[in-house]
Amino acid sequence: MRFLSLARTHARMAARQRAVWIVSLLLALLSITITVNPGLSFETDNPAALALTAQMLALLPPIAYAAAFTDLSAESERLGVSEVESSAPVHPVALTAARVAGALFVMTLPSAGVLLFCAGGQMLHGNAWAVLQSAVLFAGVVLPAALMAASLSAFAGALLPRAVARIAAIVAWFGVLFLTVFVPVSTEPGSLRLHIAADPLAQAFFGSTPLLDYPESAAASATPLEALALLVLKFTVAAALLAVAGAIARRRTYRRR
Amino acid sequence: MFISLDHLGKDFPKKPGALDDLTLDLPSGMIGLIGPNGAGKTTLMRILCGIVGPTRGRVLVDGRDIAEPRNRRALKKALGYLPQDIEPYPNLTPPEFLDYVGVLKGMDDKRERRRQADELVERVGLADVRRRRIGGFSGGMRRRVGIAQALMGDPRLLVVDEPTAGLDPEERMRFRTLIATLGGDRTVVLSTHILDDVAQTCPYVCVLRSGRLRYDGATAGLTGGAHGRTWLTPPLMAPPSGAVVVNAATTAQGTRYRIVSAAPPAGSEPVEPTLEDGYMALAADDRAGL
Repeated sequence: MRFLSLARTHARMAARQRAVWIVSLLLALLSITITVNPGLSFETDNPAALALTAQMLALLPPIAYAAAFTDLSAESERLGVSEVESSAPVHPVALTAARVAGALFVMTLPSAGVLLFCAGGQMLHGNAWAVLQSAVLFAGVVLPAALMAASLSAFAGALLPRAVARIAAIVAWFGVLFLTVFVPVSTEPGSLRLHIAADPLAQAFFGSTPLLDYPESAAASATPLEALALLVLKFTVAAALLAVAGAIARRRTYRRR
Repeated sequence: MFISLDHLGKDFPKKPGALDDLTLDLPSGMIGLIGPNGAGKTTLMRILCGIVGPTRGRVLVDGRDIAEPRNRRALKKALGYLPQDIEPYPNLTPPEFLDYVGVLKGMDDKRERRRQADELVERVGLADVRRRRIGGFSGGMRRRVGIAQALMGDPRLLVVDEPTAGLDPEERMRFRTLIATLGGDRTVVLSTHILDDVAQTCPYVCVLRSGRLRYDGATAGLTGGAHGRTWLTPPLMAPPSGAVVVNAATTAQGTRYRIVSAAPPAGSEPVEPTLEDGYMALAADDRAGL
């Protein structure tokens, strides 16, 4: 109960950052328009199309989260509110979790809305499981990406001045994408093309294939176990980044003590 | 609430002996905590609030060692803390921030939290701006929100660090009155450089210097330390050597100095000491190695 009340306050604060909210909404809307097959994902009953939309939502709106969450660990330290929070009978891990949950809840609302809208469209076209599928895709594809971008942002924000941290976090997010999603494929001499790998969870449970399908990359396909292991790894890395960001923020001297 | 410090010490990597062997029993009521910058006041208050632990020694609250997580948690439930530097979250309104602090303190009854938040907003004079976000407030208004948050949950132990810094004279007096009314049935530890605030509100005072306890006892006792040593000099061209100058007033004939000295210049008049004089007398004794 207390966790929800704390998360609600942090959600309220995040909701009042209108600029970030609007950018993440625009990026979420942009994600709908990216398709492989003719027609948008809400115009078919194909779960793979829904999975593709989820993957786009895991690529584009996190750019906004990377820019927005630089204050996640540092703000309370910089403002001095952390002293009040530390003097309260709340476990710091619970407080951090509430802070992240509240902020992420608000920031990922546009993505959730877009997925739900597409699922509604798919239901009308005969995919009876679309809403459930969209919930799984949100929890397994969109949320981990949002959490990863937010934790990278918090980490950069704890280390660097805010403006620099925003740029660094966006660059780091693209770095993550180029390491995990965009795979360079050699074609003719002197040219390079990028193939976009499908999310392992989308591959394992929704039969997704890479966006640009090259024979050598199509062979790689994640098993459900691998997909779940990767999901756990993502959450673990994000939690570790948040923990380190919190520790750095506490040690940095923002104010006189 | 009865607080007892038992050979308390705190070392920091760059400052060993930030607190050094403090043994002290704090009575309930208003307690003034004074000392120069770097004396260890904030460190002591952070230890009292369970934010950092001591390197040596113990803090006992009602006989229970707060090193025990269960006791520390119980202490934190009964605690209100106003840090020296606090700017409440700028995206919240005062009642929203107070509600958040209420949740942090474990107040589960939403209606009670709202009632207290509204009452405190009124009490610190922010009722007119209760719907405005704190980000648009002046420094003094933000300080008042800080004061109100410390009072959320009706704490039995209130620890306030420089509460009146940044407040205008009217606000300062209003806050002083508010704090004084709280001291009746709880323990209030008030750290400040404004000795007049301590003189007006605290019957008990502790003086820290370089992490060590230099005085603890009745405020009148500290003031009394300057009795017979406080003087007002005749107009002089320069401050008298060897005396601690507390104050100076320029006149047409020269400057009249209020000094603490065992050997005042000829023509000096004895005056009734204040807490400032007592504090300066103690500082002079420290420097003289007494």
